[in-house]
Amino acid sequence: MPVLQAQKISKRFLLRHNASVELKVRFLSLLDRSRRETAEEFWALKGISLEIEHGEAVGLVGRNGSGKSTFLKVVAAIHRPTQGRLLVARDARISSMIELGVGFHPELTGRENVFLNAAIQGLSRAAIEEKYDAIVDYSGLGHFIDVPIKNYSSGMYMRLGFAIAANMSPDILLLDEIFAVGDADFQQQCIATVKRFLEEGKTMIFVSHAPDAIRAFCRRVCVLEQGQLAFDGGLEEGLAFYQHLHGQRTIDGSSLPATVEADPNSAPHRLSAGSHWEEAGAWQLEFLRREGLERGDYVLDVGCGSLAGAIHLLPFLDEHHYWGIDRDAALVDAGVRIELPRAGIAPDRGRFLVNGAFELDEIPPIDVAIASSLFSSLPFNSVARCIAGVVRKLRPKGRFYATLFENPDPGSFEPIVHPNGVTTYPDREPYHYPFELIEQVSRAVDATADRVADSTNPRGESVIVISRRSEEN
Amino acid sequence: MSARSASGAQFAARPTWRRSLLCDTPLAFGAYLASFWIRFHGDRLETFLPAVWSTIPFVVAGQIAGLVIAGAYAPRPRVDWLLRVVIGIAAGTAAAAVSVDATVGFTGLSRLAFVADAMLMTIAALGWRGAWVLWRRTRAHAPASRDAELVDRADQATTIGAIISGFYGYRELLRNLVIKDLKLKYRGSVFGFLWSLANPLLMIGVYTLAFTYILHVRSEGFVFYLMLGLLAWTFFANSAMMATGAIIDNAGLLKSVFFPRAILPIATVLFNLAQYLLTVAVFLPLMIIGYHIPLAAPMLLFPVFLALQCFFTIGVAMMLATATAFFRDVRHLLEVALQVLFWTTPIVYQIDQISERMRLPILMSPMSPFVVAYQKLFYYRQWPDGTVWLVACTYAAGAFVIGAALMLTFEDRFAEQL
Repeated sequence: MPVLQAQKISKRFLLRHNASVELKVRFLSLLDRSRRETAEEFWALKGISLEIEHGEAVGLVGRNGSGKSTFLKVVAAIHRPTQGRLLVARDARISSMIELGVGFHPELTGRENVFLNAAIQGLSRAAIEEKYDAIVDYSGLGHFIDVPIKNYSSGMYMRLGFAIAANMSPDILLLDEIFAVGDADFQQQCIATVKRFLEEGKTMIFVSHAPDAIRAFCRRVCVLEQGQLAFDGGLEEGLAFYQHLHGQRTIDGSSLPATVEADPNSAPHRLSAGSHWEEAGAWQLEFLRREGLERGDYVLDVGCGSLAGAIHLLPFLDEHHYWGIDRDAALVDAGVRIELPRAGIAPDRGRFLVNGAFELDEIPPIDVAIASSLFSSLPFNSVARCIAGVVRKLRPKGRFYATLFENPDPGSFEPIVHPNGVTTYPDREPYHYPFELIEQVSRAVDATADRVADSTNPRGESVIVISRRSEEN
Repeated sequence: MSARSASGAQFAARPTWRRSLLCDTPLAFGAYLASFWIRFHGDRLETFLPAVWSTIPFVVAGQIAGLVIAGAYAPRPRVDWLLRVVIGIAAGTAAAAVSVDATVGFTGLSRLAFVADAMLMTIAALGWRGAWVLWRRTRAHAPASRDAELVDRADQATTIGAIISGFYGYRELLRNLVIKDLKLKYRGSVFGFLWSLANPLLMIGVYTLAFTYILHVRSEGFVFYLMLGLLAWTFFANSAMMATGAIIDNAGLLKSVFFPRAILPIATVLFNLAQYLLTVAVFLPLMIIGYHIPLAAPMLLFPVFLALQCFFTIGVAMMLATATAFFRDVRHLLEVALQVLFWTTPIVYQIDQISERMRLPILMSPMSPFVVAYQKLFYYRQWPDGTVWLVACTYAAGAFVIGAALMLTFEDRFAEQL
């Protein structure tokens, strides 16, 4: 018997351009056409129909913006569907772990926040008192429960939020990417709790980007693509379908810049990839070969951009050994649509991902990673994230090469003149980082960073190699 | 507020023009009569009734014409519908006043009564439309059969009974929100809860000093009179100011948990009510003993007027909370409005001291009927006039219905708007 039935659910959002919550602006917009508010329709969900049986665990996957979270919020009754109906089993309690610890008040103690938060979830006083001890036990914060929550660490904060949500004894549990946060202990506890729920025959909808997490719980996968239900079926077929969709993204891109044929060097994708497009690309293969790159190695090209390096690396490497990742879909699109055919390379020789968060779950372990001129265009938090993500994917002997503009003296704002005559400024883009900073980040993720003595980079950037700390040290 | 409201579609539907006309016409008659009744304190009916009967067709025709021209009856659903009602009535009443002046003349009539009439008519017209919207919500979805295994939660939430039982189910949240605010207010202060008891004492001390010893106000028990109005006013003004933040300050909560949104503004009002009651509990016995005020039967009506004021304040709070979600200016506008309203409410002056002409507009000021009622009950120890009852009940019912209709119509959009 189904506990949840979505009948052709559609959800429309209005993207308001020039929208304002100030009256002044609204009045002015009556006079001035260019300031007038225009609303663009955006259908986050388009006619989704699905049925979930009692006790089923469904993995909901899809790219960012494909409507996963919107669907979860419709089920949680936070959004109401624009069209269609959502039917839920009578008297089923839905508990959502969409954001943990929402509604906590920093000045209140842990105990007071437990009562407030459980009341927000709709529990009666008797029910809260009955569950209170279990919540505190579960969170492991018994000692801190009468301390104002503003003094909690972010980990304790999340623990308390999860403890409350986990003890709501819901019939339908909605999980949105919660395994992406917290330390290993916390994640273990989450996994154990979710498994217990499933053993008790509860129903669950689980949103995640991580195929491993989906595998751990679900036997059914639904893939959302641009607000539509693109796949609904078995676990492995679903994940394969999703991966296929992911890889395909760049290959059937549709934007072909008109100016390319006339003058490739002034094509927007080449310009936006930075100066010395040709040289910087060719340098990558030369450099890596000097460092011992072999045909059979798996290479990850981080920030592959418009494939400047890929057109040299792809013919050298074995088929499917090249993985490119970039956050700009348009750049990769242009690379696959324009540069690969120009260089005479079949697009399916390599694999391309578009992902701004350096989520590398689906790529195989790699031997060599390269980030050419990437760090000089990334703010520091992204750099740290990138290093952490790539190091985790490196084989034990793997190496991660990165080029960057070094700022030898973090306290100085004097212009820096590079060997090739280019002048840059430490305090603006391209970003400059002292070597020590990269070293510290690497150390934090159990890796070591070293300078590579090489002055051949066409943009005058220095090269750093990051490798995993070997087991014996 | 745009006409392209995503979920407002089913609620933007309107009553047919026949039904609207059937409701508006008698209300227009009633509002005109009531405004004259209030103007002349209800005891000199014979002096104004003839003049009223000769002019009532102008006024009713003017208001209905105004509504028609402003498009309040147009079949096409638009969300600015309620605004059109306000404009239509204002313009219609003004036109009626001009035509009365040109034909019959204003002898035996009161220009101020026309203003009062426009106000009462606006509240009545918006009020029944708000009630219609609420009623309409309960029938927007076909109810699921009783034995269906699967139910649409949207259906459950849209019967009036379910809304009320939904609130009952969330009473623990309401209680927790009020307690949270009370705890936070005094957390960290040395005397904690005692402050809420000390405040009225300090106020009494300061005002006694100011009015009795510095200004030499001779009126017996003036400080008592002043405090009656001032405390009730503070309850209203603080609730209104806090309510502007009730929705926007809880954006994170609204975007991740489902609960009836109206709980938030209601909780702010109940928090202020709790404070008010604490203050009153200290101040009233103190004053009754200190000024040797004899206990009198009219004082028993206090809970009735307090309940009316609560309904009125909750209605206003729901309107302000909803409006602030769409226009942040509301908070600043409210600050100015509260300044004006403070002086149009008989708190520091007595309504009997002002000229007879001004009594009507002063009594029509939103908080006046409640404040005047408290003063009647405790200071004059008399039963309140019918006019006070009429205005207080109209305001309480009107504000509550309009506020609830606004809140429930737009609550689906808060999660998207914030």
